[in-house]
Amino acid sequence: MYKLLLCLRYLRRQRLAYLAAAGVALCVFMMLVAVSVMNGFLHKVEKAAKGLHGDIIIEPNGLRGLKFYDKLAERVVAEVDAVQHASPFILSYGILRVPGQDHYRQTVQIAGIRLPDRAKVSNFEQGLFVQRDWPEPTFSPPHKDMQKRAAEHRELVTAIIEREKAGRNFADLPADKQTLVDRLETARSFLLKGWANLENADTNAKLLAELEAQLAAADAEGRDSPYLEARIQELEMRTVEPWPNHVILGLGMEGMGFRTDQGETVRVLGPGNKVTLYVFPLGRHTLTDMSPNIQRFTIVDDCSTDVYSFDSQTVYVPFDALQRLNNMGPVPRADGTVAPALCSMVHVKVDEAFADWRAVRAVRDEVRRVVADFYEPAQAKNINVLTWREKQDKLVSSIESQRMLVMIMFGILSLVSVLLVFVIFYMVVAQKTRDIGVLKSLGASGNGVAAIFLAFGAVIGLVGAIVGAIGGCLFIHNINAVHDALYNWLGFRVWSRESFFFDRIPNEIDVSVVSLVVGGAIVAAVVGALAPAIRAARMEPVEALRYE
Amino acid sequence: MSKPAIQTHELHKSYRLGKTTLQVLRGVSFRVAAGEFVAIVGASGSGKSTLLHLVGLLDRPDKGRVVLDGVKTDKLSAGRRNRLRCEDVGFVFQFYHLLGELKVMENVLLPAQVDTSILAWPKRRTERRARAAEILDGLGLGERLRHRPSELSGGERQRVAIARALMNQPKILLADEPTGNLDSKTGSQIMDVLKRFHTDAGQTIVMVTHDVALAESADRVLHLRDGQLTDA
Ligand SMILES: Nc1ncnc2c1ncn2[C@@H]1O[C@H](COP(=O)(O)OP(=O)(O)OP(=O)(O)O)[C@@H](O)[C@H]1O
Ligand SMILES: [Mg+2]
Repeated sequence: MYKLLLCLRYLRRQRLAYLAAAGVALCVFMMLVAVSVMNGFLHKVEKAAKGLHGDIIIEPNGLRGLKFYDKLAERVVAEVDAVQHASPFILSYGILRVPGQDHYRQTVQIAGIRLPDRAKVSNFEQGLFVQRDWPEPTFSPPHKDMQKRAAEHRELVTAIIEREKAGRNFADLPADKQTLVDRLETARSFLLKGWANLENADTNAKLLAELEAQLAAADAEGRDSPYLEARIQELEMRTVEPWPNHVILGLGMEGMGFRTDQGETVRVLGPGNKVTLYVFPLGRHTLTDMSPNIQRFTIVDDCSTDVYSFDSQTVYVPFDALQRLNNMGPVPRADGTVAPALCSMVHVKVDEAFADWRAVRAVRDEVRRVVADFYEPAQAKNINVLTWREKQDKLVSSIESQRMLVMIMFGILSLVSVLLVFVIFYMVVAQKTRDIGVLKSLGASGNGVAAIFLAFGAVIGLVGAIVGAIGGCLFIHNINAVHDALYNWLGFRVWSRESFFFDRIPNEIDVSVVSLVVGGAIVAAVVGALAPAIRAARMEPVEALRYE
Repeated sequence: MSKPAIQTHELHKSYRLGKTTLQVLRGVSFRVAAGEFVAIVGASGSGKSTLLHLVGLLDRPDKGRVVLDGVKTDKLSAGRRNRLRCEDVGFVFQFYHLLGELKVMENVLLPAQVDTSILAWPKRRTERRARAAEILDGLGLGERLRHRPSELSGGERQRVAIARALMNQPKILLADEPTGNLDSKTGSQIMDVLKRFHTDAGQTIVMVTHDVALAESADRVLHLRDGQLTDA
């Protein structure tokens, strides 16, 4: 009985105990935040990598292209039970320009995908702007939906402009605000143009057709008509491109959008605006003709996978459009046969039940078998079948080793908490030496005395861990708000999205991580208290009583 | 004829101090009958506390044996010695040795709590508290139950220590210079308290002191000199 009483009393009267609990709390807090953020980070990369490539990738060595892809996809789906869906994909590189903005050029990764198939292979639709969460997103959403979003976004931009100006004239604003308002105004005018392009799509198309007919007629008569040509050129900047020249931009591409201090995403180009892609064909080309294929596209949507480094460099176009731009379409041969069309790779979506990476590896082996069976041996040996994890190995393993490093670092810090508890308990035991002697003179056993200090340690661990866990969870939950506040206060971003891939700091809380850390802290506190407790138990009562 | 409360046989105790050994007790034999009040006097450093600790099972002799109420304690396990110390022996120290974190009442209850498991405690609680309150009341501390030791005077603290020592109704009360830290008036009050327990309740008491005058109030005075106990 005395054990409980003394344990409680020591807790209440020992200031040092609070210090130990605070130390434990701090360690739990840091450990939780570090592990949660790193885990969330990995999760996001995993999600994004799967989003881009699906669970399993079938791709040939080099960039030579994969033929009979549709048949192969069919076979894989039919023969491997765990496979839900497979679809061809083209990945190439090019330069993006904006008509009328001569200074703008941006190298991009161009993904040729099929919609709505794509939504079956990844969760592509979740990050869309116009077609968010539509079960069957396409490259030709109805104009009215695109216009609605464009108009809404324009209103948002207008509201931000009002807020930033706060009733002042442009000339009276500080320089940085002027720059911002300038950018916002540019965005607003582009968004309006995009909206108008969609609104006037039919009339513009008709007018263009008429003008082109007139030009053709003029050409036929041998007349020069520079005025007509200029009008056509001007009109072409405003028409809506016909299928398949529709593009979905990655959100966050340099110059295509930016974020305000308050965290709003501002799109400069939106639905209805036009861009030009310069593609250096991956497919067949002659040595004499190395020039890029050039094509204008109308923006129909934009997409965020949450991985900044993907989004800021990737645009999505219809598979057929990109196949053509890469000269990968079917080509008639001289002997009358047709060289088959090519794609870069086939993405395979695995059933959720097999999503675990070990299960995915087993499925990969089955897919490998199908691929080996499908192609001639000479071709098959040049085709790789990889899991998403293998494909993204460099990125994922570098993050994993970072996580390891962070965990080791914080593990060492947690040793400090054990040490802290140890030192504090050593002091408490030294302080309480006389009490220990008295207790023993009253007949208390060594184990009983040790139990007091162990329980004391456990309670401190528990209290510290709970306080730390609550604090940690609150912090992680609000980490982005805290980060924004820090940014406003310090003026720089601790978490810059350029170096960490993500816009927002991951803020998932994993219950198993929390319970592990809390449990660990309690064990650590008890371990820290163990040696002093044993010392107390071993103490000779006479020695303890002599202690003054 | 009842068994003697305490009987010691040829107790030897020495301390090693670097290379030399300090022979503190060199064959101490004495007996204390149940209900007797014995005072042990001796110069400072003569080994009085050492002897008392051996008798109270706080320490083990190098040689010799302590028999308490007929029980030979040298062969007992540590657990049995703890029990015996808890139930049959009460200690009063010169420096009171109260626990500062606990209130007066709790200090006095401590031996009862050491003796009782946490499961049995709720049942015995009321009765034990009543006994503690009664002893404290008898010592004139009825109003101070909720105070902390630091709020009491030296004499009051020593009375609390006596109450604690008597809580489990021990067969033997061992007092190590109980008045050594008090002025003569308070000291004699404490002596009166001890004598009262001796005469009224027949409490067996062994008291250690270097004050020969104080020892006079005991039934019998023993002298510790050169590691030996003598009657006069
Ligand atoms: N643990 C120990 N180690 C070394 N020497 C000790 C130890 N305990 C006691 N002594 C020595 O043994 C001798 C007897 O000590 P003890 O405390 O029994 O004397 P005492 O008669 O009670 O003295 P006092 O009247 O001052 O309390 C002293 O010289 C002391 O220094
Ligand atoms: Mg002494």
